[in-house]
This record gives sequence, structure tokens and C-alpha cells, in this order.
Amino acid sequence: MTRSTRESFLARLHKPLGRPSTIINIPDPPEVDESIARLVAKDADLFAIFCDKAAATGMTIHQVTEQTLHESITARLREENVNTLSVCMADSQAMTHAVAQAGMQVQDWKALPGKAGLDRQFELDAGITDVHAAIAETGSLIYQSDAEHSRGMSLIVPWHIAIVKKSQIMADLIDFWNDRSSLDAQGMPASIAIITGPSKTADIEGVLITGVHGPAMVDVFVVEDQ
Amino acid sequence: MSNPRKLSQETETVSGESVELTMAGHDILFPKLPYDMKQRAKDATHNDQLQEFVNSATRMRDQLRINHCNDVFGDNYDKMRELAGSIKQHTLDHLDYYIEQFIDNATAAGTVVHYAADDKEANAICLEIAKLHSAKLVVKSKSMVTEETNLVHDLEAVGVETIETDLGEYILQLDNDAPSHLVTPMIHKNRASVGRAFARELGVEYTDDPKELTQIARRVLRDKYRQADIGISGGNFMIADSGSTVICTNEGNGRLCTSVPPVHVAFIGIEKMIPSRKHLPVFLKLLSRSAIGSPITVYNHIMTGPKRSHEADGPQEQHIILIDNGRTEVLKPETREMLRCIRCGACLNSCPVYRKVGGHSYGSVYPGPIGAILTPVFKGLANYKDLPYASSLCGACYEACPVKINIPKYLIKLRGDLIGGKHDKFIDRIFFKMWAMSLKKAWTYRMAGKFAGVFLRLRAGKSIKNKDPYLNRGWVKKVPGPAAGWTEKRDLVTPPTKDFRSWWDEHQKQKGGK
Repeated sequence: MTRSTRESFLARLHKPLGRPSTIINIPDPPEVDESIARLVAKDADLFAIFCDKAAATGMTIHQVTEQTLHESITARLREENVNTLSVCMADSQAMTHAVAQAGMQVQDWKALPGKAGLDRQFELDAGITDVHAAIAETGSLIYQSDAEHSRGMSLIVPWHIAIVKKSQIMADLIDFWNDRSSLDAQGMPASIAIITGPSKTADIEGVLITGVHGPAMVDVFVVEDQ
Repeated sequence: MSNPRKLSQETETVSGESVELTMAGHDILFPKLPYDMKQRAKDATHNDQLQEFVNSATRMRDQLRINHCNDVFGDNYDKMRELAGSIKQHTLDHLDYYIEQFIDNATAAGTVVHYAADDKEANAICLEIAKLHSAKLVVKSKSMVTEETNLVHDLEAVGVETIETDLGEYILQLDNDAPSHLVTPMIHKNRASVGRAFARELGVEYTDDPKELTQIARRVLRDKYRQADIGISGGNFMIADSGSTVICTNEGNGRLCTSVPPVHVAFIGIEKMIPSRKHLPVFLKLLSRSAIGSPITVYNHIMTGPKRSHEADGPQEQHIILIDNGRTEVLKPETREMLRCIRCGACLNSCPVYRKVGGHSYGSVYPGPIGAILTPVFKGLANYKDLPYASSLCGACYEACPVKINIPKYLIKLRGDLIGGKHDKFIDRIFFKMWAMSLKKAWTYRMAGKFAGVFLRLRAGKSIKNKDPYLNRGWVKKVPGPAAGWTEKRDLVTPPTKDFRSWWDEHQKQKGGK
């Protein structure tokens, strides 16, 4: 079988488009008219809207200050009898210390490379992460992969605990994507996850069940930092 | 094409009764051509699960969509659909430009882009990747295009165990069944059949509790993600200006399939393109709202290349297979609009015909109103003559469509193409000729009405002369010819001896006489 190439594949498109080769100059695509598509204004009470919408998705919201954050998290971990967990944050030292002090076993997710590291993530009771942004419109968390952020920690663990700073809350999905649209392909994070609630399904007779493949519980600690 | 998992046509349930499987698994979507829809549609109307559950579930989701979209978009709902439709149309009009841009950007990000003219080539590419990695186990998330290519069959045929991980698709795979809805694939099945399939195939104790069943599936599949050599996904969107692929799921299986195994292969139809990241929110805002009336899917995963060298986890290789498989046929100017579809399933939920006949009646991968127009273009109109007629042309699908595909317009166009200006049955030609004649002048229209009235009254065994025209009406149980299908399921009320126009004329005369 002769295989399609980029050229032969594109040629298949040129025929129905009615041109001999790929068009070089095209009109600008339609603008995203914000008077239609924007659902939350930039100057709205983003904190209140985010907490409200995030809670509606089934995530548990805790409003804390920088002073009460560690204490609130360890209390919540004890409540759920957590034994092992990992911390996945841009600056994880203080949190790791606080959780270890409270008697929980903190696993270093970076210590084991490749497959072994992934396997370890499957055995954890919980994962604590910060986020890269949050969206008031939908109550979503935005979590990107990078050197300090494992994909598994907001996905493989049965319980995802996310820390959102109040200043990270953006009004609308539009704002987040406008913000990211100047990056080139290499500059884009390899993985951006927009997370909106615990894992859900309604495949069996439409009955809503939380916790299928992803985390069954998501706790969000919103920190007043302004 | 038979599924190697199941050989017998009969299968034993836990209670010992046997259930007949009329057709095996994936073959349901690939019937003998030319396809005759009538038998399956008829069976569906006698299927209680389908009539009760599919009907109520689709109505509920349709209502959720309407309420939710009106709530958030208000008067802008229509403009929002217009905006999304115009972005998709622009992209399709310049699809060569955007595909080239996508290839350049994805390649720069480290993705390997492949090109598949048809289903065979797409699967062959995937099989080569599997061979290269000596893959034994593949986990895959929900993807309609892999249904088109029958990928699972081809992988299993060469000994690669391939597991569907979307809960609904997993159940269908275990029970040797096929999806019947774009978003809720096992809408035609009940919990008892899931319980029986789990007991039979997984050796667990029978339960029909959805929560317990879900937990069983979770336990089984969690190990599979860890062991899998390759993760396969579809793609909801491709973004040209960054070379990114987007998948939207609620369960998390899509994100697991694209994050845990060392190799990720995405099967994506070329029509899934959007120009830029700035356009993505428009579609994310509409997709889940149109599908199930929720603001957004739980997980939207935007992937740009494989894992970077400094990252600890993520796939080391990312392959994207760009798939034509008939799409360039649809890309012709006269049908291009059909490719705007973002597979939300809103047209299925809103369709009074889909609700009654279910997805399998359409005899193809894409059911419902969108399937009724896409399938004949994909697979030849002569092979799917019934599909353009599987609609009442009520327009509910057009109103529900988030990208404003004028489905009724295309149904009518396909009907026109089918008859080529001429009906094939003599009786139909006479019938439509007379109909056309009767509609041309007021008096002929009236005459036809009178004839029909007399005919139906005689059919009902009623006198055509009756002192009180509105009493002693009764029902017409059966009508021959084109209306036979209508009276098969319900009776027709017998017309009165005096029609409204006669009454009106007399009434006006009386008034004038006073």
C-alpha cells in the first residue's frame, strides 16, 4: 500500500476547496465577540463567583488565609485518615513540612523516575497541588505540566487537594486563553488540564456517580492573598 | 468482521435464561449495504427499554440544554451559535491553510503527524506504531472516528489487547454491543444487562447497583492504565496556531489514556480544526451545555507535544493521525456545512424520530439527524436511501445545533437527490401528481379534501351522510398506501361530514342574512 504523504493528503483537500495548492493569504477568522461570548465581567466579584460555581460542581471549598492554610489542610487530611500523599507545588517545602509534622507520610513523587514514579502515584491516598489559574465562570482549576508539576497528582490520586490563591482567579475562560495565546508551540505547556469537579459519569441509566477514573474527591483551599 | 471476544449468538445470563443477540457488536454499525432501516426501526418501537428510557433520557437532556443555555446566554444564545458556526465555517473554507499550520506547529512541539486517506490506512499506521513498541496492551478513550475505522477489531486481530475505558464503551465492549448515541453510548441498555455482562465476563457477583458497577469497572481499569503500552484517544478539537489537541471527558479516562502510557496516539478527523486558542472558549462554552446541559466537561485536556525533557511524567511520544475517510467528499461546497459538527449529540436528544427508533436503527457510526445527513454522503446515498426520510423535518435539530448546521435543508436536498425529480414507484408518482394538482387551485384543494373525508369515513365504517356532522365520529383503524405506517401505531380520528370551510361559509351567510 502506498502511504499518504503530507503533499498527497493536502491534495485531497485542494480539490473540494477548488484550488490547485494551499491558499497563502486568508481573511482573518471571526473575532470572538465578547459581548456575546463573555459570561463573567472582569470587574465582577470573582472570588464569590468562583467559590459558588466550584461548589456547584461537587468540589469542597474552604476559604482560608495564608496563616490558616496548613492547619486547615492537615485537619482535613486527618478527618479522612490519610496515610500517604504527595505534594506537588512550585514551592512545596513549607507544605511538605507541615503535613509531615502532622504525622502523614509524604512521598517524594520526583524521587523515582519514569514508570516507577507513576506506579507510586497509583498507591497514594491524596495529592496536594497548587494551580496555575482558576476560572470564576465555571469554577474550574487550571493545572499545567512542568518540572514541578506531575500530571498524575491531579488525576491518578483518589483525592485531589488544590490550593488556589485569590489573585489567581480569572473571570472568564476567554481571559485564560487570551493570556496563553501569545506562546508559540514549544512554549506551550505539554499538558494543560481544565478541571471542573470530581470525576463523573452518568453512563448507567443516567444515574450520576462521582469517582469513576479520576479523583472522586476534590477539595479546594482558596487563600486570601490580597 | 466478527468480534473475536464472543462467538455464540446466544448467551447465558446469571439467572439461567438465554438472551438472543441478533447481531454482534461492532457489526451493528456496519450492516449489509444497501441498508434497509425499516426492520430495526420496527424492532425498536417494540423494545420497552428503548421506548421508556431512551425517550425519557433524551427529553430530559434536551430540556436541560434549553434551560441551561437560555439561563447563561439569554438573548445571545442564537448569536453564540451563529458565532461558533461562523468560526467553524471559516476554518472549513480554509482547511488546507489551517491543516498546514497545524502540522507545522504540532511538529515543532515534538508531535509526529501521520496522514490517513481512509480507515484502512489509519489503522495500519496505528498497528505499525504498536508493532514498533511491541505493544501488548492498549487503553483507549471514547472516539467516534475509531468506530469508523473499527480499530479495536484490527488491533485485537494482531494480538494487541485493546480496552475501551469510557465506562459506557467498556460495558458495550464487554457485552459485545455497539454505541447508539454520540455522547451517552449505552443509552439503549439497562442496569440489569450491565450486571449480567459484568458477572459473565469479569466473574464478579451479580449486582445491578450503578455505583457498585462503576466501582468494579474502576478497579479493573486502574490496573490497565498502569500496564498499557499505548494510550489511544480521539480529539474534540485541534488548534492550528499552537498544534494542540483537545479532548473533553467527564470520567477522567481520556486524561489517563493520554497521560499515563508511554505512547499516545490520537485519531482525529480533519474537520475538528479551529484556528486559534482564542476560539477555544467559544466551543468549550457550548459543547457540554449542548450535550448534557452542564457548563463544561469535568476534564478538558489540551495537549501540545509529548512530555518535555524536564518533566517527570507524561507520554514520551505523541502521534496524531489526521484522518480523511470520506471527509473531503463532504468538504465539497454544497455539503461543507455538515462538517461543522462538534459531536455534542444535541440533535439526537431533540429529535422525535431518534427518541423512538434509537441509534442502532440508523445502521451507521453516526446516528440521529446529523447521521442521517452525514452517512449518505460518507457511504453513498444509494446505500442509505432511508436515512434522509428518517425525520419529520420539524427543525428541532437545527434549533439545538450549537454550530447551526441546517440539517432539515440537507435532508430535503438528499431527498431531492434520491428521487432525481422522479419517484420510483408508480403509485407514488400518481399520488404526488394528484397532490400537486390539488394544491394548485382552491377548488381542487377543496375537492381533494372532500374526497379524503369521504374515503376516511367509509374506511371507518361510518355513514357519509350524518345529521349532526360532529357526532358519531369514531376512529379509522387502518389506511392503505403512504399513510399505512401512520395508522400502524395509532388510530386516525374520522373526519366530520362537514368540514370547517363549509361551516364557515354557512356561518358567514347566516351573519350576512341577519
